[in-house]
Amino acid sequence: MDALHNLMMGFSVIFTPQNLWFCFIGSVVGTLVGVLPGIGPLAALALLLPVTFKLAPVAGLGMLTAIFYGAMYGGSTTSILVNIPGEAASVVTAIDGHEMAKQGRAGAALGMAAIASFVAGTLALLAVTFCSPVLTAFALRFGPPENFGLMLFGLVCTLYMINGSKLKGVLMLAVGFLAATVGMDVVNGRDRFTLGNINLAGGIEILSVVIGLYGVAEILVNCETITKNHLLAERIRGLWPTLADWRASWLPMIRGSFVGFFFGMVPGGGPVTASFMSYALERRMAKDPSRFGKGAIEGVAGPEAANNAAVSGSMIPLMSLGIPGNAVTALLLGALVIQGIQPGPMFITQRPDLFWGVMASMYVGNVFLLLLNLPLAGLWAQCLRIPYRVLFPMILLLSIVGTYSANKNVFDLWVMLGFGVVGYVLRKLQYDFSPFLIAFVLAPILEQSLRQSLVMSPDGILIFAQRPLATGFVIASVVLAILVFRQRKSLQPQGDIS
Amino acid sequence: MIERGLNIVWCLLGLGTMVNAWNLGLLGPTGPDSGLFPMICGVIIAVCGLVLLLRRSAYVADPVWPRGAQMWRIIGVVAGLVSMAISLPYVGFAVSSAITTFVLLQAVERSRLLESVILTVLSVAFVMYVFGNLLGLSLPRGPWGW
Repeated sequence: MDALHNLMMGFSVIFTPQNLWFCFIGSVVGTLVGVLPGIGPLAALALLLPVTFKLAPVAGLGMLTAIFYGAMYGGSTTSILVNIPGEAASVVTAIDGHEMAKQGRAGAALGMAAIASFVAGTLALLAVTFCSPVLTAFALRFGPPENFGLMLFGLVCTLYMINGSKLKGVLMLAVGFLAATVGMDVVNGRDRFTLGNINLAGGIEILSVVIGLYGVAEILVNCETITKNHLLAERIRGLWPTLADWRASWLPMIRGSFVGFFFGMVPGGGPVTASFMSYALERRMAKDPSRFGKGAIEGVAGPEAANNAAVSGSMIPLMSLGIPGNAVTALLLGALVIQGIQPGPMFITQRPDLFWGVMASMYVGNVFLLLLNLPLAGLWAQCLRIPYRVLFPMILLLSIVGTYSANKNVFDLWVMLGFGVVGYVLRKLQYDFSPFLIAFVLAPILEQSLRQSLVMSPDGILIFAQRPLATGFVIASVVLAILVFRQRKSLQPQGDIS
Repeated sequence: MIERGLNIVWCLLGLGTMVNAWNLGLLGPTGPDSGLFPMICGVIIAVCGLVLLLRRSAYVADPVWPRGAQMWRIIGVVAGLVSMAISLPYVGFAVSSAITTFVLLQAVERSRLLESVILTVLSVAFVMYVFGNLLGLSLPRGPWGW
C-alpha cells in the first residue's frame, strides 16, 4: 500500500502544467529521435542535457527519460514502414514488421508495436513501483563502506556490458576513472593532472565529455556521407490489430515484458539486448518458427514489448542504487549529478518526490506516446524526409551552447572539441564509450567512500570485513571480476562491435 | 597505422600517469593518498595499451577512414567548431554561430545559398530563443550588445 501511496504522491508532483509539458516535449523529441536515423537517443540526451539546467529536477529528468523510451516507440515506426531502424533496439522489429508492411499490413504492425510498447511499459512500471520499497529498506543500511562496495560492484558489472573487445573496454574504464581524478583532491587540496591549468582545478566538466563523445563524434560520423531523403508514398490503414493478431500477440507481449524488464535491470542489458533476446525466445517457442522473418506479428509484439520494458527495468539500479546499467542510464546519472543530486542507495529515501515523480512521469509519458504514435504513425514516417542538413546546424549549435552554458567558460568548448575528435577516432577503432562514462561518474563516489570508510575505521581496511553488506559487495565484485577474466576467449580482443 | 599510434599513446599515457601518481603519493596516514587510484589506472592503461599494441588480432580488421571529400567534410566541421570557440568571446554567440553555420552549410553540406541563409537564421534564432529566453541562460554577447 505504501507503494501506491507513494505513486499517488508522484502523480501529484507530475500533474503540474510545467511538468506535463516537459514530459510531452520529451515524448515528441524521443519519437523524433527514434524515427530519424541520423541521431540516436544517446546523442539526443547528451545534447539536451543542458536544457534541464534551469528546469525543476522532476521536469528535467522526466523529459530526459521520456526521450529515452520515446525513441523506442519512434524507432519501430520507420523500422516497419521503410526498413530503416531509427535506433538500434528497433533493428529486430524491422525483420517481421517490414515484411508485414510489404504484405499491406503496415497498420496492424504499427498498431501492435505501439500497443505492445504501451502494455510492456505499464507492466514494467508497475513492477518498479512494487520493487522500490524493498530496495528502500535495503538502502537504509548503507554507510561509506557499503557505498564503496556498491560502487566497486557497479564498476565490475560494467565489464559485462562492454561491446566488442573486453580489453578495449577495460582500458576505457581506466581512462574514465583517470579523467574523473583530474582536478583538486578534495581531501588534501592537492592538484592532480591539471597541468598547471586553472580551468582544470575543478575537474573536467561532465557536459563537455558527454557532448563531445556522443554529440560531436556523432556529427563527425554523420558528416562523412550526405544522407538521402526517404519518401513514404503509401497511406497507412487499419491500425487496430485483428482478433487473430491479438491471439497471436498477447503472450509474446507478456513474455517480452518480462524479458525486457530482466535485461533492463542487469548490467550490460538494456533495450537492444532485450529486443533480440525476446525475438529469439518467440522464435524458439513458436509452433511454426519458419513464419518468422516472413511477417509474423509475434516478431513485432515481443521485441517491442521487450525494448520498452527494458527502459523501465534499467531505471531500477539507477534510481535505487545509483548504478547505471548502460550508457543511457549513465547519462541520466550524469543529469542527476548536474542537478546537484547525489545518486546512490539513499536517493529514494532522501528525494521521494523526485523518484516517484519521475516514475509517475513515465506512466504519463507512455500514454502520451500511445496517443502520439498510433494515429500519427504516417506523419512520423514523413519525418524521414527531413534532410540531415536541416538538423546539422541545430545539432552543432546545441552542442556548443549546451557545453558553454554549464560554466560560461570557453575552455569547456575546447575540452568538448577534444573529446569529440578523440571520440570519433575511437569510434572508428571500435571502442565502447559506456565504460568510460560510467567510470567517470562513479569514480569520485568510490574514491570518497573508500577514504571516508578508512577515516571512520579504527581497524583500517578491516572495516570491509566487519560490515556484512560491504563484505558481500566486495566479495561479489572480486568473484565477478575473476569470472570475466576467466573467460579468456571473450577477453581476447575482437574486431567488431555487436 | 593510426591504431598502432593510438596504442603507443595509451602506453605513454599509462606510464606518464604512473610517474605522476608516484609523485603525488600512494598512501597517507589515514589510507589512500592522491596518487593511489591514478596509479591503478595508469598500470591498467599501460598494460592494456601494451597488449593491444603487441597482439595482431587486437587490431580492427579494416577500419574505414574518410578519404577525399569525406575527409574535407570532417576537417570543415572541426575547423568550424574551432573558429567558433575562438570567436565566441569576442563577437558573441549570434554572430559567431551565424557565420559558422552558414559557412558549414555552404562548404560541408553543399546547400543552396538561399537555403543556407534561411537555415542559418532559423537555427540561430531558435537556439537563442530557447536558451536565451525560455531557459534564461545568458549567451555570450558581442561588443554591440547582442
